[in-house]
Parts: sequence; C-alpha cells; structure tokens
Amino acid sequence: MTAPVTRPGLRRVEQVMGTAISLDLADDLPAATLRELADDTFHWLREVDARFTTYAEDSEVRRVDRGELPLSGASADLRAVLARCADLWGDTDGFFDAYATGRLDPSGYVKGWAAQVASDRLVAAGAVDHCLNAGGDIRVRGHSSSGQPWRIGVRHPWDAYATCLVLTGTDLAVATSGVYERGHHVVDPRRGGPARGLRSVTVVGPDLGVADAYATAAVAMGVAGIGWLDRLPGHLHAVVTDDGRLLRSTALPLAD
Amino acid sequence: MRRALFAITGLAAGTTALVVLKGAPDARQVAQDLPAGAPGGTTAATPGAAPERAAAKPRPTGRPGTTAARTPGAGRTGTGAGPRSTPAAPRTSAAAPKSTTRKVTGPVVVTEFGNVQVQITVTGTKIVNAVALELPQGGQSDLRSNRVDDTYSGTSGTVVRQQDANLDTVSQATATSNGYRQSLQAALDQVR
Amino acid sequence: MHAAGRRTGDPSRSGGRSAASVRPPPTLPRRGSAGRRVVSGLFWVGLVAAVLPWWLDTPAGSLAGTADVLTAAGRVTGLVAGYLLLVQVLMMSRLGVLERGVGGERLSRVHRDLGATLLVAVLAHLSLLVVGYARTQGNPVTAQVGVLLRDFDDMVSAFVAAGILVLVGCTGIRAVRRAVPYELWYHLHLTSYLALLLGFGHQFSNGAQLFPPGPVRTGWIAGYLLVAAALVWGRLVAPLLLNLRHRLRVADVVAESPDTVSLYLTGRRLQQLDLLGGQYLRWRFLTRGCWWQSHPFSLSAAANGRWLRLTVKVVGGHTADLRDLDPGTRVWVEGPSGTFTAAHRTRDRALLIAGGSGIGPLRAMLEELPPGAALIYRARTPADVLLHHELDWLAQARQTSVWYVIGSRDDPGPRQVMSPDGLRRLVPDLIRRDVYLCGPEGLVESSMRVLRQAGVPRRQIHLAPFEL
Repeated sequence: MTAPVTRPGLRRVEQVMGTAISLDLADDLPAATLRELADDTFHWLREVDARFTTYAEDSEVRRVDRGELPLSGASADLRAVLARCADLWGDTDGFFDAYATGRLDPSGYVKGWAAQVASDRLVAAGAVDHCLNAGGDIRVRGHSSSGQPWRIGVRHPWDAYATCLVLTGTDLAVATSGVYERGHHVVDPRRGGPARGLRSVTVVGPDLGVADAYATAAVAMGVAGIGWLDRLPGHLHAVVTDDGRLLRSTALPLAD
Repeated sequence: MRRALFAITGLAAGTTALVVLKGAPDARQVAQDLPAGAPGGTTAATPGAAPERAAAKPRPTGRPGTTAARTPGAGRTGTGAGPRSTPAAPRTSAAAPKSTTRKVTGPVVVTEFGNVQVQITVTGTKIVNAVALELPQGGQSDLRSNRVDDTYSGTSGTVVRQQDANLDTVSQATATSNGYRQSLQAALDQVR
Repeated sequence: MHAAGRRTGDPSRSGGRSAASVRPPPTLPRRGSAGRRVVSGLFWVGLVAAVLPWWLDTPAGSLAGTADVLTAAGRVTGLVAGYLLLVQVLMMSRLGVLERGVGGERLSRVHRDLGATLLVAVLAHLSLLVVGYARTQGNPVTAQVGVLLRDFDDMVSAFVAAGILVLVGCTGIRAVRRAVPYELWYHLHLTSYLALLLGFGHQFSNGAQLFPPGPVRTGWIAGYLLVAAALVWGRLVAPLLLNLRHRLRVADVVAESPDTVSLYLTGRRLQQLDLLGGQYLRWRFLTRGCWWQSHPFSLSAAANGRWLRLTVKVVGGHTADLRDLDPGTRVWVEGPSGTFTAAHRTRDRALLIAGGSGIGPLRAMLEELPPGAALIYRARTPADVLLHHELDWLAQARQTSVWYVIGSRDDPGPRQVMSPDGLRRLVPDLIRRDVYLCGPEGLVESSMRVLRQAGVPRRQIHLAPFEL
C-alpha cells in the first residue's frame, strides 16, 4: 500500500460526444501544466462535439447538410473530415458511409479523428506519454506512469468484465467495433445454425479515426471482413467471430 | 358500436394490465440507496437481468486492471487482482481503509434497439471508468461466406478470457446511443 | 287501401300440408358455425402471439418511472395496432373462406368495430410513444415529434400512415359515412393499403421486438406476406378465374314496379356456380358509366343453372343507370358472399320478415328452406309488393305461409301484426324458428326488438347483409 497521490501525471474522465472520454497523462510534468493540457484536450473535444454533432440543428455539420452553409465556407476541419470520409467510403467498398443514415453523419469517423488530433497536439506540447480513451477507442503514446509501454485490453465480447487480448505498445491507435450480446451461440433463423458474423473487430494502426472506420466497416462486412482486414496495408487486426473464434494478425503486438 | 366500445375498453384494460404486471413496484429502486462510499460494492441496480450479472460476479474492484485497480487505496497488490476470483472471495478493497472507490450502476434504459445499462467507477469525486453492462443486441451481419482460412495470414484460435491486473485501459465497442447517455447520466446523478 | 294483415297465402289453401308438392323439396344441408369459431379462435391466438414477444422481452420490474411505463404501453398498443391492421386488411381480402365461412356481412360489422379499436390503438401507440420518448430524453413533446421524424428511420412514412388510418377511421363513423358518397368513401378506404405499406418500415427499423432478426421478425414478415397473398388471391386471382369461367352478361332488364327492376343474367357453366339463396355478389357492369363502380346486390332467385337474377330498387345514380342496361352487357362479378342463407339455419323451420325490396334475398332463400316456412311481407302499398306471383307459386310449392302486411308503420294493422302477440298469433311456434330479417333499417330494428320481446333467442335471428 502506497500513500495516495504519489503517482505522477493526471487522470481525468469527462462525458463528451455522448460517451466517456478518459485521458491519462503519464509525464512527470508540473501539476498546473498537466491540468492545462487536460483542459485544452477536453476543450478541443467539446468544440468538435459542438461543431460536428448531428443532435443540434445549429451545428456546422447540420448546416452543411441542409445546404445553408456551402462546403467552401465550412471550416478546414470539416472539409478535411469529409474528404477523409470520402476516401474511407472507397477504401471500405462502401461499408463505411457517412451518409448511411440518409443524411450527413460523419460521427463514425469524427470521434477517432478528434482523439487522434488531441493526441497529436499533446505530443507537440511535450506530453509524449499519454493514453486517450474515447469511448473504447484508444490512442496511446510513450509509456505509462509505471515506465512500461501502455497495456491495452480488448474487451471480451461475451463478458464485459474480461478481456480476450492484451496489446502493448508505445505508439498505437486501437479501435474496436462490434456487437456484444448475451449468450454464446446465436442461432441464425435464416440458416438454422449458429450465425457466422463478426462479434468484435479490433483494428490497430497509426491513425485512430481510420482504424475506427475500418473496424466499423469490417463488422458490417461480416465474415468477408476478415479477408478484407487481412489485405489492409499498414493495419493489424483481431477478430472474434460469432462462433467464438479469435483470428488475429501474427504481427499484433501482444503483451507477454 | 357496442362491440367497438367493448373492444376499445378491452384494449385499454389489456395494455394497462400487461404494463402493470411487468412494472413491479420495486422497479423504482435503481441505485439511489447506494451506501455512499461502500467500498467496491457492486451496486444492486434494477432487479432485472443486470443485477444478476453483477451479483454473480462481484468483482472486488471492478474489472481487475482497469482504472479502478489503479486508484489509491484499492491497491493492485490485493488478492482480487489475480485471476478472476470466485464470488465468495474476500473483497480486497474492503481491507483498504478510507477507500472511496465505488461503482454506481445506472438504470436499465430501454431504447428502441434494446436495453442499455452503464456502470461507472468513481474514486473520490472522479469518474475513473464507465462500462456498459448491457448493450442491445442486433446488427445484421452480412453472411457472405468467404474461405478466408486458406489464405489467411494471421492466426486463429478460440476466444480466451484473460484477467490482467496490469491493464492501462480497455478497448471496446462504443455505445453512443441515447440509452447509453441516459444510463450514464443517471449513474452520474447518483454520485452527486 | 290500407287493409291491414291482408292475407292471401292461406295455409289451408295455398301453403297447407294437404297441397301436393309440385316437386320434392330439396332441402339444403346445414353448414354449421364451426368455421366461424375456428376463425375467431385464430384471431385470439394471433393477438396473443403479437404481444407475447414484448412480454418475453421485457424483464419483470424493468418499467421504472412514468416514461418507461408510457413507452411500454406504447409498444403494446403498437403491436396490437400492427396486428389489427393486418386482420382488418385480411377481413377485406374477399377470401372465399372468409366471405362464405364467416360471412361477408359479419366481416363488415366486425371490420367496423375493429376499425374503431384500431384507430384508438394507433392513436394511443403514437401519443404514448411520443410522450414516453419525450420524457425519457427530456424533450418537450413537440420537439420530440421533430426528433422522431428527423432522426428515426421510416418515421415520416409511419406518421403519414397514421394520418391515413385516422382519416379512413373517421369516414367509418356512421354519420360521416352517410354524408360522403359511396365512391369517395370506397376509394378513401383503398388508401388503407398505402397505410399498410407506409407503416411497414418503421416496425422493423424502430420496433424493439421486431428489429433484431429472429423468429419474431420472421413471423411478423410472414404475416404480412400471408395477408398480401390473401389479398392477391381474393381480390385478383379468384375473381379472374370466376369471371373467365362464367362470363356473365345481362340477358334482360324487367321492371317489377315503378321503382324496381330485375336484371336477368346468363353465362357459361352456371350450374358450377356454388351459390346459395340469400348470398350476394359484387357486381360491376361494364358500360361507359358504370364500369368503375362495384356494388353488392343479393340474388332474388336461387341458383338454377340457367340464369341469375337480382332485383334492385332504384334509389341513386348507379341503380338508376341499371334500368338502361342493354342486353349483352358484360358483367364482372366477385363473390358469392354471405351467411344469410338457408344453410345457416339452426332450426327446422323459419320465419322470414321482408320489407319492400328486401323480399329479393328471402325469395331466393325460400326455395332452399325446408317446407313449413312462413313469410311476412311488409309493404307500404299493394303496388310495392314485388314478385307477387312467384311468392304465391312458392307458397304452394314449398308449403309456405305468406302474409302480406300492407300499410304504413303507424297504421293499426301493421302495428298489431308487428307486436309480440301479433307475431305469435300468426306463427305460434315463433321461438322455435329461425327468423330471417331483410328490409329497411327501421323495419329491421323494430322487428328485432319485437322478436326479442317475444322470446326469440338472438342466435336464431339472422340479419341481411345490408340495409335496404
């Protein structure tokens, strides 16, 4: 048992973008500096939320979608996001679609992108050891306060309290997408046997927004998504199928 | 016309009866009566499926290795930090004096896609983790079959549960639904 | 001449037991009510099956607070409404099994009553869920409607569907129904199919019980497909086969009285037509002014394998046009429908009460009832008595007592006959007979009242498919 608050760094969790976002700053910096960095990070995330939310009618995204704001008059951030969404649409054979709901909704990419930008800014500001978890999508840099590379668990699809993989690394974007459900074998009524979709897809790469979009697309592809992930350049993956098999890239940086 | 009146009355009475039968009176006790600061206790939430889960797996400090385990007081050296302890295992955090780590479970929020329930872990005044205990089923996976195994470059095996006390964080599918927000908000409200 | 209770068909003379039968009376075998019971049993099973998924999906005690309760009630009423809508459409699918097993006229009555229930269920579903969701999400109710329309799939069409159903439901109210022309009412009713289509999507994209793939969703879709198949069969395929087989044409138009005409129709293979006296068909006369309207008329003669006849009182535009039909006019027909037949009797003997042109279906039925039936024919003046000669002939051939009760409702004669004592004097074994009623609404209602006072059980009283 150690005395409380001896550990360097700062942890903070806030609710932004409809989910819990936690920031772990592990650098041994003055408390005031850390607090300022955390403030800046969450300020940025809230700003992104305000501009990109589809829940508020006056957000930039909604105004562009309604045609009130021409794309040329939109912020550079929004234009960059939309350009990336268009690229992702092509990369994923259309399975990632910012217009899937019938109107512009880039939130499938925005959360990861915002976290990635926040992480990049932290590095630029000198906080090279941090972990940003945006509702389960994670960007880690450097080492944790224990001095070891960050250790990232991947949630077990059938047990919210357990993990099925542990990844470790000093510069990783880890995004998981999937459908968690009670019960092991789901009988697919159309086939009369266990369904063979993908329960959980984790993609590891350099950019969190892209990794998140890829994971989402792979889940939507179903079993075909495994082959697609296998051919993705520059990204590693771990997949849990509906029948309980775990498939992963051999190069995946597993702990231990 | 008289039959129509009968039918309408029957509809109203039937619907009321169904809802009343389902909405047992104790449904309102969500987690308000959580003993504040109960060390590591998993709060009994709605008497539905969720508490069964929670009760069946009373994890001393929540997911081992998640943020809760790193908080002061609930030291990661505790016995509960090892492989998943049995339900009867002593609660490590109970031994920790002045532990202010506790878990608060939000109510089951019924959404159009299913039930959502969020549990948060609080240390002092800070939320150190939020977990979705229950998320809607659904998703229609494309069932196009693909013989990936023949050409697959990775490895495959069965899914194994791991308990790791030394995790810094956990990657999981996000739940950004309104239901998640509501359950989370309710859990947050209970902390205040 | 207001001779009350003028009595021609004296039992001892023309309908008496002593009179020799002209031909051996072929009595129609009974058709029981088993079919009807099975159908109504299926209805209840279906209703339970529709709500059961909600019951199984909802954990006991999970309804905490007003919002949850409202939402749950909204879901239940939604499932009920979805099911009722399917039943409503199925009942109007003109499926022969239903039209002749349950009876087109009974279906119409149930359709109207169930329609009122459906209207209430849809409105309850809509308002409960809007308020429930609004409370859950902390929105004002109006804002919540906006959110539903904007953010939820298929909700715009669902709201349109609800609007259509409300509109259709309102025209079903008796007062409104009378005020609008039949054709407008009919075509408005056809838009309910649109409601079925428009309401389809939101059940699966937003329905808590129907969204996840599984037996519930599959079963629900199967229900839709079944109803669609029934519609296609009952409204398209079966009529097409019927008309291709029989190819009906108008053979003759005969004036029975200044305001009543009989249409004689011929066609091919009429002996194969499974038709009972008292049943009705839906007629579409393929002439310039009439082809787009379809009207139900009962037959006024039992099937004879050579011709069909309907006797129609001229009351409106369409019936007036019928007088001018040329022989040879093609006729498109759907049916037959109805359980107002001799086969649906519960007793050996029957009393028939006719008013005005209501004699038509009863005249057709007389040929198929067992001997010993009695007919009371109410008419305002002797000139209003239709098919007089046929009735007298039938009275003799089928050993039927016929009484013509002439005069207006308030004349002493008709008043005396149309009372419990008066009826008992004419027909002493009244309470052991089936009573078939066909005539203007006022006559049917007053007869009904008198019969119940006289002690005739309700299930022995048969009402004609429509008021005349």
